[in-house]
Amino acid sequence: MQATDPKVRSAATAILQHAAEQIGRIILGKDDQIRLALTCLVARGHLLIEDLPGVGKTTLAHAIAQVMGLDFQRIQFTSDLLPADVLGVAVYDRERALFEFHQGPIFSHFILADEVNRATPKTQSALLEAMEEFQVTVEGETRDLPQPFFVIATQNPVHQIGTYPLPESQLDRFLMRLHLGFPGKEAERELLQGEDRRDMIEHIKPVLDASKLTSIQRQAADIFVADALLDYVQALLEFTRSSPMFEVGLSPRGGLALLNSARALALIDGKEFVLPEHIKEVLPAVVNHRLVKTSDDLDTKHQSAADFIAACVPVP
Amino acid sequence: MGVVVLSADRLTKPIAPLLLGIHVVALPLYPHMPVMVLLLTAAFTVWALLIINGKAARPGRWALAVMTVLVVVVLMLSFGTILGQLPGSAMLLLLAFLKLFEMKSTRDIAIVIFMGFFLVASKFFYSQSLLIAAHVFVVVVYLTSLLIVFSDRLGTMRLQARLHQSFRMIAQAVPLMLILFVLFPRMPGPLWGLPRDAGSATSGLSEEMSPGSINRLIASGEVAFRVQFDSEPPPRSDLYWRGLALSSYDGRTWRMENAPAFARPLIVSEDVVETIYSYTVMLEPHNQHWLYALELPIQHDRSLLATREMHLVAASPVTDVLNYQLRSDIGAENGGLFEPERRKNLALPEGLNQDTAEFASKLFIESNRDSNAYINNVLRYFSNEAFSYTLSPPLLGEHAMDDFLFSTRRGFCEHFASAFVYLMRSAGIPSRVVVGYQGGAMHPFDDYMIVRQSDAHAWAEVWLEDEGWVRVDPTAAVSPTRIERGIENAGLEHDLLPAILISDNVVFQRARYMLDSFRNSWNQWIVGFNSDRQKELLRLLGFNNVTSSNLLMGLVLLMTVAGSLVAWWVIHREPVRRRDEIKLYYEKFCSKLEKVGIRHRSNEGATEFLSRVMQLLPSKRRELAMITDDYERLRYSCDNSEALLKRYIRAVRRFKPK
Repeated sequence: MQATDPKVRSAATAILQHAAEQIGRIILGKDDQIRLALTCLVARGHLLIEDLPGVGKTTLAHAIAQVMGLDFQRIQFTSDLLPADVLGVAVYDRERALFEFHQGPIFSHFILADEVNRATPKTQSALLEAMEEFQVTVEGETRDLPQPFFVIATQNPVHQIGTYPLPESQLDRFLMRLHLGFPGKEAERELLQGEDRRDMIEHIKPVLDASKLTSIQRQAADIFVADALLDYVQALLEFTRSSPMFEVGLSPRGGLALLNSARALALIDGKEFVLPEHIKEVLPAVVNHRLVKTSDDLDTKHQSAADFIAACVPVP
Repeated sequence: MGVVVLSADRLTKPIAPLLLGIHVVALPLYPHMPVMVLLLTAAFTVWALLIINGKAARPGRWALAVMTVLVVVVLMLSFGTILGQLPGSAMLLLLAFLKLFEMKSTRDIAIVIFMGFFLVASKFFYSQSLLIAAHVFVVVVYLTSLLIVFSDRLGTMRLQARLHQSFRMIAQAVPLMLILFVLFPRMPGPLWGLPRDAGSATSGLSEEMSPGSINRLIASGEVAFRVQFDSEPPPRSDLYWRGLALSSYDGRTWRMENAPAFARPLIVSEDVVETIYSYTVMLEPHNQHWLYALELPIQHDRSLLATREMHLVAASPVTDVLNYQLRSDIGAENGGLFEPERRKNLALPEGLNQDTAEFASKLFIESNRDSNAYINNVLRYFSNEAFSYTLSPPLLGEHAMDDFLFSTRRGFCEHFASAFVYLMRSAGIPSRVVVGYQGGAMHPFDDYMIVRQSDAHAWAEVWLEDEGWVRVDPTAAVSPTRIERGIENAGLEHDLLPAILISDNVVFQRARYMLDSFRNSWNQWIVGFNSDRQKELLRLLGFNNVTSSNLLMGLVLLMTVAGSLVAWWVIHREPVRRRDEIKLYYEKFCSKLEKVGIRHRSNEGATEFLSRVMQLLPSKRRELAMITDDYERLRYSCDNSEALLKRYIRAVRRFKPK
């Protein structure tokens, strides 16, 4: 494994921690979620934020985009949104007698797909395929998306009226799923007293740009993972597959997601290698949306899948 | 499996599957068990069921002591001893129940399961049949999966996964089993001269014959023995499988003379190739000494013995399938008659059957005192008068011969053989009754012959001065079809014959024969794998003259080499030793902390643990952080310098929590 220069690595760590601080000043009392959202970005994954309206999903996305210095597009998903509205459309140019492609909003570095579960499955699929392939195909022509490419999708809790819940197979496309939840009492007070968040975001100075982010992502991928931890990840996967708690166990993709997230988190922490704690920290965000619990187990009804798994599998 | 003391609730849970396990294990033993043992088993089962349902308490220490005494008392009352196979098995069974009540820890669960394994093995004392083997396989899979279930402390494995693992473990043991099966030195004879329990059931013919003793066997379709001929088998009418010659008669029962004279028989074989047959008999266990052979065996395995009466005798009772090779000459003469033998074969009980005696002397005189003519006249008498061959003959009175010859005239082979010999002796011709089997059916699609209990037969042998002992079968005079076409075509009552012989159902017949083929292979290759077969196999592999001590040494060597290879592989599979050292010292570090009441949880990473410990031991922050940091660096990074390892080990050694 090619070792990155420690100085470069600590520079990356400093930048990321600075970014986290900046965002933390806007989204109050949600440091853990911000940390994980950054982890997701560094691990080149996409993020799903699932929560009630008004808890700051959009603000978080906006803030991250601003701090990262990425061009930002917001797509509000509605039930009449068509795939072409997301991907773009080929329009016939009469003078030149050819079809010209008009890029949709997806051709940016940073997409906020707001309320993704309000759109029809067809439109959802268009987005999710772009996320998976890092390219879109319109009118038989394949076009690459800009790199880095990062999607934050927000989703209302699925039991709300007028939603098309994402199927489990598509939830898998998101590296992480986060819940924001209501702010704590003090944080909420500060939020109510403070100035408008939108203005604050305007004033954030970007700490990164697209090319720097790409290099940080590459550094994260180089973080060392010991065999013992590969054993640990495998034990976690095996556990979900053999435990009667779950309908279906985690896929190999789930295992890769765990490793990549843990690497990114290690980089944020300034470590040159992954620790079991990193894996355990990303575990809830990475696996909870990938697992369906068998409902009959009353003992563990109120325990999340990740907590149950982490409690049962010994750390090597 | 470590010793883990379980809470009361977690102790009742394993009772149900273990109870089931014990019963499944013991199922084939139950028919052998005395009533009192069965009653005690039932009582224990009921108690266990009550405990499972929470309706009864587990017995305390004193109750268990009393029950142990009770078990011993019941065993003593039932068997008079606690030694031996059956009492031993019964004791193990009952104690398994007591252990079930006594369970306190996972170790006790393991003990119950291992008792189960032991009981399973004990079943091979009684039978080594295919059915028992299948049962044992099922039980072993079940017990192994129980062992897995109770080792899986989280109880999170799925049933399928447990069974799968159980199968896998058994599959891994198969190569070892095969090596031991093939190469472990075989002792000739029964297992280490283990004493047989008294009253082991004998089957087939016995040492005596009275009216009814043979037609009792006819209803059984069981296989008496199987025969493999090296060439074409002789015609059916020559298939006389001789067992015992019975010389002494008390008016009702023919018996073998006690104390057989162990002198070589005198057989004159003309060496006419057409009449000599070589074949192998595969005898089913019948718990008797004697064997069956085509008349007359001129060559046999050296381990067998032929007596003056032409009995073929094995060294010990046949308790397992026994294979022996023979050469018989169906045209040979069996000559020589000592004076005591002549007297023995002429003796008749006094004061019985006057009419028969008169009839015999009259007929003998009519035959001009010529033995051959007399024999023919007697046979003609049987065929001309209204004698009938039946499986349900009427009972005979005190003068059995008079009754049979002049009034009832209905009988089975033993009646005719018996009457014929009586008539011969009455006329002064030495003769005797012979019991054995007559006939046998070729397997329809395998190349061996099956002789069943239903082929049991009795006939006579007559001493003729110039021909020696000559076989005469009076049944042939009454019912020639019995000899030529077998018992099933002899016009006997159909409902008294075994189903396999008379069924018209082709599928049923085919299935029965296929099963028989399978059983035969099992007997030959698994049960009958004795020292001879082992030597044969080793010869095929190129090892000649292997003694059992050589074999044992080779086996030990092989196991040692294989074991070393496996160990080497396990050790060098990956460089775990260094990492083990790191882990070992971390465990040492944790156990030092445990002494002051801080326990490391297995699902806890080092950093998580550190943050917890720091709060409890703030004065040791620096050391704790350093050890944790070094440990993580050594274990999880690619940095593995010796200096770091030394520093880490030293730090752990010096570390004192207080």
